[in-house]
Amino acid sequence: MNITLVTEGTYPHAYGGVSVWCDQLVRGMPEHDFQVVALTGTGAEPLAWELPGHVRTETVPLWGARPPGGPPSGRAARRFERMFRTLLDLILNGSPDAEELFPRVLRDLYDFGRGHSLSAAMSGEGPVEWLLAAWAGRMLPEGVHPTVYDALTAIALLEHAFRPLSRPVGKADLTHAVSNGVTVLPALAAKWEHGTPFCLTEHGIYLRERYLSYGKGYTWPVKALILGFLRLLCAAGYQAADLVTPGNRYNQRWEVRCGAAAGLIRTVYNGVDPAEFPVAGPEPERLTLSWAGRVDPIKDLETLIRAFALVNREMPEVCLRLFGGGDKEYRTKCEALAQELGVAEHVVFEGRVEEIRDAYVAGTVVMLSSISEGFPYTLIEAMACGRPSVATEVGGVSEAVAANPNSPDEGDCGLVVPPRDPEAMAEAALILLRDPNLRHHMGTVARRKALEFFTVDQAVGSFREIYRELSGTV
Amino acid sequence: MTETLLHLAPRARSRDVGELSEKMIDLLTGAVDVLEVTAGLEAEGIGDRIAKEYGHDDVFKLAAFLYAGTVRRPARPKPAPNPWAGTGRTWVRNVNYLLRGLLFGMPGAGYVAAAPLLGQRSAGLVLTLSLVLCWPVSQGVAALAYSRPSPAGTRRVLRLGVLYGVPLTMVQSIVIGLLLDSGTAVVAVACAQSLYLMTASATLVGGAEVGMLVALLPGVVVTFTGLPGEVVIVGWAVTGLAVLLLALDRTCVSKDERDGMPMSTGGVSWIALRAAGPYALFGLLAGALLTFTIVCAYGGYGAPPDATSAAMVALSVSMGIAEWVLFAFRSRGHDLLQVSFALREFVFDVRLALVDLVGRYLALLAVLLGVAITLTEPRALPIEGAVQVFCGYLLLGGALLLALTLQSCGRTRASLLCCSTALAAEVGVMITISPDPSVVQLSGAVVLFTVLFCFAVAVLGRATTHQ
Repeated sequence: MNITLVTEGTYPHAYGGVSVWCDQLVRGMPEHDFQVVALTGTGAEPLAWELPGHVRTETVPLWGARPPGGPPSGRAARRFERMFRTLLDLILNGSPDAEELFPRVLRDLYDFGRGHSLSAAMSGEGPVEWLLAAWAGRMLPEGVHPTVYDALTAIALLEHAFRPLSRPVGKADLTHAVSNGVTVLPALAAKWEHGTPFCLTEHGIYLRERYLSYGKGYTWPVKALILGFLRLLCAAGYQAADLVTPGNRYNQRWEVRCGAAAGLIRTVYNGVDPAEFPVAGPEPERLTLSWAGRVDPIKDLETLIRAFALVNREMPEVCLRLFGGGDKEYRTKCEALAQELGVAEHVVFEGRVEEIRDAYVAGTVVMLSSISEGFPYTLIEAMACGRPSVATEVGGVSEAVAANPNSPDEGDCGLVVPPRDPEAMAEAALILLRDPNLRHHMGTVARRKALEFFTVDQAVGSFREIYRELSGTV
Repeated sequence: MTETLLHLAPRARSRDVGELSEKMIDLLTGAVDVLEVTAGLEAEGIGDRIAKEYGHDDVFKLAAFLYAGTVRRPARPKPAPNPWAGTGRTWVRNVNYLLRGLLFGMPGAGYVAAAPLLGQRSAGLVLTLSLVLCWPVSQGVAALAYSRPSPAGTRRVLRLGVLYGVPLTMVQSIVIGLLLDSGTAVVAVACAQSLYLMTASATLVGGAEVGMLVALLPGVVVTFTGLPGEVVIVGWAVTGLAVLLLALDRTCVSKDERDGMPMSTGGVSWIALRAAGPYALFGLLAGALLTFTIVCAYGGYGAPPDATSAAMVALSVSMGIAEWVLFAFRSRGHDLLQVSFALREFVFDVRLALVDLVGRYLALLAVLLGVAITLTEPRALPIEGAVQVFCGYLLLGGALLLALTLQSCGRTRASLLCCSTALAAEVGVMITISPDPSVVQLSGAVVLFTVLFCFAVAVLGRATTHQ
């Protein structure tokens, strides 16, 4: 089977959870040929992963130099203007039928892009003028007066977002988009062109992440236009997908709300390779809370450090070890916080480690303090190693540590606390630190559950089945 | 056990929506829709469970409630940073531009010092040709250096420009000297000229204006104090060495910066080289247009008017002003985008800004040309030739400013096409009907300036050009 795997900013040019997942997926199915369509920044990004023989890759730069081609003229220019003005109206009106009409406009623009350069058409003065006119004719919030700069910025963002739509579409048996948003554009094009079925996997929620990233740094009119566009695009992605496969059940709330049919959603959990995460063995001599991941504000290490300070008050012998590299500025901020709370000597930033398993081995209890997660590898890896955990209730965390449905009497595999709540986190950590029997029990059931539900074989097996179903080769 | 543990930590409690609304007020007043509020709440760790504590079924309903209860009043955005405004105090920047202008013109003193040699056969031609051939190299290196993403990459390219560019341009000068049989002394001056041009462009891109001024002082002082020839040579040798050392110092790349940078090339790819090509070509064309009458003189078409060298120096000095005008125009274009609410309004204002700034440049250049010609060639006045030179160089200066502005706005090909067509036409006219070269240069300048001006008014008036 020929499978087109569409990624954005991840595999095979970057590291991180989604890239690990892609690598597991393609390596797990050597019987299929994979064409990875990687949406990247400039196109000059080096490969971060070694590609197996059955995987080819193609980059579609979103931000590099403008693709070749001149602007349309005459009838084509008038046709483009009609389409583009309709697109702007749909985005700005937010009318109930917008979700229904949007895919048609998108299709028209795709057809136009086959004969003309969409990028060149969108880079002229016309779109800027049409957008300014569209804004001028609408009620905007108090104090909002869109400028020419706003229009230019918004149109430039749209032009970049549309680039994957103009990529020549080859014939494949299936398209697998590894997120919503611009990643589904090649999948939609393949569906229109060849009727290729398409599977949409989301680890996080694309739209939610964009709401957060565009929320900062852009003026209100620019933000409203781009988010309006992405909301309609995501709805089009959910509606056109033959199957939506989120990485956890919690994400389905967003997906259904944004247009996915509940009946076409199937959760497929991430998995780990049990051989890479054998049981961690005896606990460390010193009682230790360990954390692993990328040092980043989204991981909310400040709450973890505050919680640790509370633990330290009760049990001064405990230490906190944090494994992983990342945002240096944030790390400095966290170190300053530890200093301020008087626990700096017990908090150790270990930096990156060769084997992430060492981070779990080093902990009596593994901590996860994130304010946003999909289905975190850290947690299921710790579970596979047989370590108990305290984690914040975000994304699929509760699903991961909930009791094994096949043996519910054994209880949960870890403790779940609300995010940004140091007291609750400290309380949960103290319960585990004070009770070796409970730790041992939780570790054992965690490992059993991970081996039963969260292995690479399970994840790859599910997609093998999905590929067969969608391509009609059941 | 399940029940006990899962609910042990998150204690059920009731929370105050009013407090939450107050805490999230920036998110609520600036949100584009309910989903943005939902995303913002979730990012704060407020999920369905906590939403229930606020009395709502889930976080979407809590978000809708908060959104409905507030008025959209987004915070006034801060203006986007102006990449053309420069850093530091305005007066320091303005003094820097003036200084740069002075630095562009000061090497003119070198020609005064070399005056005894210039009377020799073909000496002027050797110096002119080697100068014209230096410009593409220095312009190309500067464009390449500016295109580097990091300051370390910029310095590395400038260093390579000095290490390879100086020998290359010196070889050019030697070959021209040999071909025209000009003698060792003239070749030596031509080589010194190459050394200066390549190192000066490296130091100026590196922002070492004051250092350059100090380095130039020995040469300039010995030239105008009537000291014997040997002392003058020593003075200029000190200047040359100082500029070279300054360039090497300013292009130093530290050990830390070296990590991760391909040092052999400074990270320069063929694509970057190709992108710098048009700037190199522009340097060549500009040089050829400016020295047209001098080269023609050696082709047997009659001596250039006396005021030509003075006009060249005045035009060089004006390049500092041109640089200021270019940055001021780009900066004003950027600011206008942010205060214009309709395209027509922007187009009018930005064209007005262009006309205003080009006008100011021409006025200042006119003063410089007037002073230079009157001071250095009083006997040339009021001869017709001096007026021709004045008008020709005024319009050439204006044309070069417009071409540089167009290049800065991404219209490299158009400005190259105009300049090369003008040069080709001038050469064609000389070959076919051989009129007075200064008349040809003046006519070429009139046409080139007019075409570039009309094109610039049309193209630079577009909003997309200022993106």
